[in-house]
Amino acid sequence: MGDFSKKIDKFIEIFIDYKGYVKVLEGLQNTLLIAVLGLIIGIIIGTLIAVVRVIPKYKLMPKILNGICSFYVALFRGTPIVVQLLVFYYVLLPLMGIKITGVDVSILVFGLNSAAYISEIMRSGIMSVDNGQMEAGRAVGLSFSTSMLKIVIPQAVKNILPTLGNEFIALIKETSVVSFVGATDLYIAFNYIGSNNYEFMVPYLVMAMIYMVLILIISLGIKIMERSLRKSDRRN
Amino acid sequence: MIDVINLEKHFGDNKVLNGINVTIEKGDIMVVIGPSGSGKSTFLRCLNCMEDPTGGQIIFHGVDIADMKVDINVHRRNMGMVFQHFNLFNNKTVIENIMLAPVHLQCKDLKKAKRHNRIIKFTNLFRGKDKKKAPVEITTTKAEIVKNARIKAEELLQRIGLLDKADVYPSTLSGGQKQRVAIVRSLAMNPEVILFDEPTSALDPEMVGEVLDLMKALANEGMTMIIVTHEMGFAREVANKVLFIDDGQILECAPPEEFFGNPKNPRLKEFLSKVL
Amino acid sequence: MKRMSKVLVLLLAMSLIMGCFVSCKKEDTDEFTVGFDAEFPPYGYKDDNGEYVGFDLSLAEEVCKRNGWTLKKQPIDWDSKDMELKSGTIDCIWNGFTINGRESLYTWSKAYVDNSQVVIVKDNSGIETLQDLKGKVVIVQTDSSALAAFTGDGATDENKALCKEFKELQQVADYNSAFMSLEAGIADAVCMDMGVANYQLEQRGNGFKMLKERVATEQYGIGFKRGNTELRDKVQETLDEMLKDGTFAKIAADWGLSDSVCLGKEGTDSAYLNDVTTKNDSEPFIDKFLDVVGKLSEGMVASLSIFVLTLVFSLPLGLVICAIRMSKLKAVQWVAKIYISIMRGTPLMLQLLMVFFGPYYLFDIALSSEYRFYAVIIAFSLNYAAYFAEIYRAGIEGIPVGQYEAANVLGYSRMQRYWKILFPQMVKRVIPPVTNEVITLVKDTSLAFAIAYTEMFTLAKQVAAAKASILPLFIAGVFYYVFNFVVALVMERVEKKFQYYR
Repeated sequence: MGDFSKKIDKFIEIFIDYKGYVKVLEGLQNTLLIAVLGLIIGIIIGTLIAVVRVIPKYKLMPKILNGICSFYVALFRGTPIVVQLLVFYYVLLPLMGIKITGVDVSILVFGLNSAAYISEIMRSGIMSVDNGQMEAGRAVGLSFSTSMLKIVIPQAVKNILPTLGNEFIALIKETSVVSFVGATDLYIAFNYIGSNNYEFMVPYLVMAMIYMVLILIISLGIKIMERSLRKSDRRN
Repeated sequence: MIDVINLEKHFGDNKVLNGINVTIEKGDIMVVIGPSGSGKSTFLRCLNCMEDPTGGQIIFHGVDIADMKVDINVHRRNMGMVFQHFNLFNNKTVIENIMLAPVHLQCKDLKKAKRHNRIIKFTNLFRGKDKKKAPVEITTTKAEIVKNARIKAEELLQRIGLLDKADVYPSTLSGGQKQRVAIVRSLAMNPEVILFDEPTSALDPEMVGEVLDLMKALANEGMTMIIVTHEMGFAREVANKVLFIDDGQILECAPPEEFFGNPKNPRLKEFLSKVL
Repeated sequence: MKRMSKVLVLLLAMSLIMGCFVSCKKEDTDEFTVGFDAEFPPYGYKDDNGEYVGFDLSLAEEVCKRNGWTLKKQPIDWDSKDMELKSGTIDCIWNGFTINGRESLYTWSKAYVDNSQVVIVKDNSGIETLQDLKGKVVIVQTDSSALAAFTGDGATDENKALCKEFKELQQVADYNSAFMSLEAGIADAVCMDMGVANYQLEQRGNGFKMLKERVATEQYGIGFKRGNTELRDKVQETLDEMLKDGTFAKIAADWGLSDSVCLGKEGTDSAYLNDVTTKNDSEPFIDKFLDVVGKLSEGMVASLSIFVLTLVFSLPLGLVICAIRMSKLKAVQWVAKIYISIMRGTPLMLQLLMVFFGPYYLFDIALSSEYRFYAVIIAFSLNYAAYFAEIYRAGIEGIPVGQYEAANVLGYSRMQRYWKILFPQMVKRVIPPVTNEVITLVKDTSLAFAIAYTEMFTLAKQVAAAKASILPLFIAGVFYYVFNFVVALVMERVEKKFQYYR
């Protein structure tokens, strides 16, 4: 049993000769697709929610919107993503008569889910920007939305970039649950190799390495981005 | 130019402004003084609705801008404001800070005009030959707006001697430089009046002079200014009206000679004896 | 500035396109979607080229060809088959689907394969008869006919009695993990369909054997949504046709199943004739609800214990790792750094599998069945300790240098400085991030399903499968929500306690 090199040979054989890599590439593609599109949807919806939640609440409409948004955030942060996936795939979408694939559902759910997290991150980012920035924007005659978009949010984004990067990394790791709705991700791909081999240790180790490499690359990318965004507070 | 009628402001049960009545004429240099917590900053911030007044009227060019239905952004363009903590946009360079609002607003107008013309062009298709409407004349382009704004911004920077700092970010400037940039930023909108909210309070002593000099220069050019400050010397030298506010009310309003030379209100006498 | 708005517009456009392509998938009427368990050879599985193949799929292909349909092979999670069928994502379940015991749940075709339940054990286990299974751990697939044979309504008294004698009857999601558990010594026997058993034995070679005694006999059919007799009749007609011209027998021979096929033989059409007339006895919702909650309560306790034990171990362990991470020795620091980056860089689910199967596959240590629970706690604690360590470190580094200097000036020793000055301040600082992590932990407990530990979520899926209802999933969702709500409340209280200084 301890014959490790034999296991590795067998793994390589399945990986290359039996086209295991095709599966792995497909899984990698899906994993990235779900994480990236999920993040993009999450950033867009999350920013909207964050803005709604920082609008001054004298009037009724912002109050109602704020209520809806905080409920949304609490709901998506309070339940496991697996449950959300299953409920969307088997209950909500069929109820609405929409028939879509597991990957699409995963993108949708991961987007909605990360929107809840990103809205909180974004909100803390917006609140960390000095109130005077907004006031100055309003004082020169820009509207609330223009001041938000041109002055406050760019500064907020710089503040939250590390947190946003962590959210992306968390998304990548969380994609390992999409097998529940029949989508092929990295996990399923290596499971496939494992089940052809009746040996799971080597595929799982390789999978762990792929995840690590992915995440290292992303962390590096975040660092570079942070550096380029920091130019406005560098002293020359 | 500005008529403040019975202005009131309260935060919850806390009444900060208690019926303020004052008129500001074109060319006035009005200095507002008072002990801390007296409501003088709130008064200033109510003038351009940074704080929404809870009662009373502010008539600016015949429009009550305290009314929530008025588009306040339009009027704010004519009312510059300078803050205690400068509030330069951290994510913009110095020159971008100055150009942002003029360029953005003019581009918005331009876009509006273009859209309007498109609609006219379309509806003209259905109009009779002699009934066609003429499109609005568009005299400028986006590039021209940017170019003009840049020329103007450079002029302004030249004036305060900071042209070489045009492309740096505000975090590299000293406090005095920041405040002077903030003042020319509001000038770039060609406002009719500028509100100063304790412009020198957050500065190191040796930088106060350069900011006050710039303000004096503006006063000499005939700019209308409303200034909340603790600089009594400046008030005496430059103002033509000095206002004393305490407990949310105007207790004295007089020209500086009378205000400092012959104060009538006992609270003002007490205040002056402490600060002078 | 311009670039930023352009990027925003681009993003919006992309999400719109996404939205369209998500919602506009066309519904093809000529598509025949077959749901199957992709890990159920020889009936349906992935071959070495990554294609889905199998006896059932070959049959389905032939049926589609004759009717001019396009066949869509949809691998499904076996636990979710009812939901798939009900929601219309698949047209039928065609995958060694046992009729016995499910007669009234689906609209059935005629039975086409006769299969029986057999028991697989390790060669040298000394188990020879069913009676030898007393006091052993037996594995079955979730909601499989093997499970039904032991505990279902139609189970024989002998089987029920035998089942009571088992040490444990474990349910796993697929046969691979069943065989892995058997190999690793976590279980003693696997009970499964004969066809599958033959195939698995052939593939895995020596080391396993099949008991001669049978647990139950059963028949396979094609399950359609209840009431969908129209589609069922079409498929059945085609099958009958195929039987007549010999295609059926040929396909069966291709897959080595000639001995077990029974289409057209006597006694194969009882379920087929038993058409949908009886409606499900509709018990009142509240009864159903209470029933499900009762069934799930065990899982709730399991989830809670994972939660509590993980916190108990990982919070202090995090401190230790943090201390190592902040050690003055570079080499020691790196150990902690690497540990943290591995723990944070790989999915928790993967770590669970590693901790569970690793000891056997890497070090050849035989495992007991209790190890399942320990593995969950070990994996969770190791993982969360890494996260907590980083939080603690940020908390300590955030304390102003002045505090160290003041402590040094006052002549405190290193230990005193740490415990009396830094630790209390650090605790206050780290409460908000720790709260976030704890809330994540509540949800992460659901990942224990990866090694088939019966916590809340696993149980909810099992009950959902058994009851053919989505109610358990909803209840699970509510459970997590309430759980998190309580955790958030408690943490808020704790935070307030620490507000004695600002």
